[in-house]
Amino acid sequence: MQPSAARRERDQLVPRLAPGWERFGLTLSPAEGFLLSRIDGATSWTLLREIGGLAPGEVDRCLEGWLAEGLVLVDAAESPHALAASELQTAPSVRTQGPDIPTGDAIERQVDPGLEIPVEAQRRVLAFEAGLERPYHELLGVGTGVDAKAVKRAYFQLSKEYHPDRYYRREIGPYAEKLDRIFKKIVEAYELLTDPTTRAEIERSIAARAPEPVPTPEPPAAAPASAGANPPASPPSAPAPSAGRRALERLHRQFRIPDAILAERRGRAREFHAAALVALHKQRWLEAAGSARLAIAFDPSNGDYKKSFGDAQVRVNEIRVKELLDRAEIAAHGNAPQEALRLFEEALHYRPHDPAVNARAAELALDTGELAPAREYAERACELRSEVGAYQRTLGRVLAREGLREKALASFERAVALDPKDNRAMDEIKKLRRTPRRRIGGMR
Amino acid sequence: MSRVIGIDLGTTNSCVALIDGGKPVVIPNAGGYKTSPSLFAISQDGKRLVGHLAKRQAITNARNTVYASKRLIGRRFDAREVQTAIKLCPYEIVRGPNDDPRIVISGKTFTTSEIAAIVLREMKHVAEEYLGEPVTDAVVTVPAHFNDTQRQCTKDAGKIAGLNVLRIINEPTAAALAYGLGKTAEQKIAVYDLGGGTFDISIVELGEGVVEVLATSGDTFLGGEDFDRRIVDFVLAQFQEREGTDLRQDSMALQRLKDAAEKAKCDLSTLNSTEINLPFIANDANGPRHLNVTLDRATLEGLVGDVVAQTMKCVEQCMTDAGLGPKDIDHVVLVGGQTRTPMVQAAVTEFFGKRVHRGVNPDEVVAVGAAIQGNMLVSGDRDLLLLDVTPLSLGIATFDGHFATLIERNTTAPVQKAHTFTTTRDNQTAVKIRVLQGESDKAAENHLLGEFVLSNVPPAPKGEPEIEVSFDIDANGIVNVSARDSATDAEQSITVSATGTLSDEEIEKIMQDHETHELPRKK
Repeated sequence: MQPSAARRERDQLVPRLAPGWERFGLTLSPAEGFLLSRIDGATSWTLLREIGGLAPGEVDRCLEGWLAEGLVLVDAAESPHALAASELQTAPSVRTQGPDIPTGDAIERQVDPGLEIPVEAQRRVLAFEAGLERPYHELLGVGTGVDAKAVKRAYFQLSKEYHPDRYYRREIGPYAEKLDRIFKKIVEAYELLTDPTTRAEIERSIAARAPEPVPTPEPPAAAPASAGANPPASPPSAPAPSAGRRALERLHRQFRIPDAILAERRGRAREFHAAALVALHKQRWLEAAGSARLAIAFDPSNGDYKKSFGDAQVRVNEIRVKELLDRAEIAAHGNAPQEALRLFEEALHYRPHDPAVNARAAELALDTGELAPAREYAERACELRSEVGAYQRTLGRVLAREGLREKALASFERAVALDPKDNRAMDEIKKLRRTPRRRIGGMR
Repeated sequence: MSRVIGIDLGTTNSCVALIDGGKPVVIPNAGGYKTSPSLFAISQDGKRLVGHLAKRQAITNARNTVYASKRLIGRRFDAREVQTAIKLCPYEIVRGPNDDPRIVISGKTFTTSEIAAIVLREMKHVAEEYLGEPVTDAVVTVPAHFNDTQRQCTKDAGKIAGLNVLRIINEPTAAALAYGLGKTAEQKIAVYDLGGGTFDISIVELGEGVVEVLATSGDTFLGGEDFDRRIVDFVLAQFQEREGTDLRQDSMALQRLKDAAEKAKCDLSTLNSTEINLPFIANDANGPRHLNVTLDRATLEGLVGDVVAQTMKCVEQCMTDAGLGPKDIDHVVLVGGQTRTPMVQAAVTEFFGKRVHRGVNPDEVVAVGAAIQGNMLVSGDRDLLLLDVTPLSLGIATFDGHFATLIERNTTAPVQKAHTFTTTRDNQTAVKIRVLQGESDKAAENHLLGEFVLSNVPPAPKGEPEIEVSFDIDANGIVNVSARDSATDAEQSITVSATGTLSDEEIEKIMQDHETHELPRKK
């Protein structure tokens, strides 16, 4: 069946990302994110269906949805070489021109004369909302040097325009949410610019940033170690946000990376993550972990990347542990107990709760005469798997070497109880019983 | 367009206003008074009395007359204010099933919301008689220090009274709105509110038609009644000295004396001297006794000087909170009938070093402000806007029993604030978020609004998970709290609907009860 004319026409369209698309607050699946990352303003709709990583129907659904949301705009295809161009580009070129105001078209499309908010006001709300991430000074429309009164005046004026009470009980559809968002931002800007400390910091940063934008890292995890005792309480959380800490958080919000750079970084992150997903699929764990780590480096806020990294890292660790254990056994049999112990201990770092590894480490520590770690590992093995006689026997040997005759006997007896055929444990018991108590227990 | 009335639900007096033809109108009641006493009584013969009628028999029927119940609304029975009231009030206050104070008069038990509802209903009727049409929408004022529970109980009272309460706003804010109507110049205003039973001081900023509260402070047991009590005590002592008779045990005489003391107090606002003349106040073996005492302004000032000084201490405190000195204040607005006393005006004038504003009637200004806000909301008036603030700080309890503030008091709403928290134990998989309101550093001393658990936090060493707790207050004052684990994006949230001390079912039941007790009215 031939595709309809309309469909054919659409296939030639070249989607591109709308300016300010970062602000749509998207929640995408990784696959959708991948498709989004393919949209570069050069690849046509048809080709996206091919390379979008989704079923063609899904690609259509996504693109249509994004078109409707205004996230994606379309132009007619200019040349048949669009694919070649896109292949040459590694990172998606996102067209962002800094703190942009949407085009008149984008605004006009959203204006709804049926609502109980004048269309003039709708246009102002849409334009203001589009620039909501501007620096605080710009948001309030004040210069850096102005006095507190001017800041307050600007705040009051904007409040009168955008406070949600303006349209109390009016049917204003999506504008209710927009006004809410705008007003909250206005309050935030006003608060930061009326606090002399934060305002000074903000203005310093503007002055410092003037020639070239310096990317600053994402805000660090606000999980400061609390001083003092930590009662084992189950209620939540962490220290109270001190005034200084709050000021710091505000600053982090202010030192935002410019949108264009951020968009590019996110684009790179998605590229790496797509690679990570492929590697995961092909079970190339090390590669997957590496790619995911890079994705996180470019976009630390994305939970998906962290999850992929975690998935890959688990597998990588498994491989590494297996390798360590192999090498450890070789060393143990090759009469290099020190080396073997070091390797087992390294394996324990990844698998602290593996009883077998603990038991082996205990045996080797016993061989090298390191009794304190030997006892620790042996005890942990017994704790983890109390029903294994061999672990009890190992613990018994360590205890016997430490001169703790009674405890050692108890361990050996437990070993025999668990495994009546454990001749080595029985031998140890006989040996201990023969030995005069005085000499073995002679610690003083 | 439906009308919105503004109601000042006062501790001792209430007032109702509306905007008519763009101008505020304070509505007089059937007796011609623009304010009505916030009193409710059940008379000896079982009649329900409200307002002036209740006041006239308040002392002779003291045990069955409820006054100043606003001091009790939304509080717990064990609260200090309730215990103080139990000591001072002649009517009986008992512990209710929800640990709330309930009032027993004439063998019947009333919740505090019910009493407030009776007064609100009276104000609603006053407005309906004036307009000749039903009224349902209202803006009601409360003191600035009221917490969410007290505000919700006031809203519940409105519901019981058949009113749709659009907003609860702060009294000083309302006063500033009334004062600020039609003014555009930037200015800072001190609102000094000495009512019948309570004192409040607020510093408010006006500019571009926007009203913003900067700080507020007050005393819930300080007001005009203290003036009356001092005068009554003074006259009783004089009478006893002269006639050898103690009138304290005679409730009829006390009622007459209290009425006369209040009138004398008002007279002394304009006159230098007045007479309290109560013939046949008592009878003894020598025949009838008459009370005749002359009271001059200087004597009155000697009696109440310390009460006024006490209010000025609050004023100083509030100015310190706002970080302002007397010179920073452009205008002083007086609210409450008691501010008519020359001594009060003199003290305020001296402190701020400027004349007090006399353009608005101190008894009516709050109701007018409420009416302006109500009208502003429904008419979409673009000349004036009230930036309302959160009355108390909001936050969550932390592991060490501390209170972590996320939204500080006096923050303009709508607002959203977030902060990142973490776990305190290794492999902790659930965190409990306890949402609190109050000003104490200790979580236990603040008011619990609600709690929820964020579970399925992936096991991790303590301090590692990032849990973002976010508070969001919308334009209607509804608080939404959410917690999100940044590793998994798992999210839990609650809407902290302020709860009064009554459940919805209890309110329903009370509403039905009240319909049967509705006073018959002429159409």
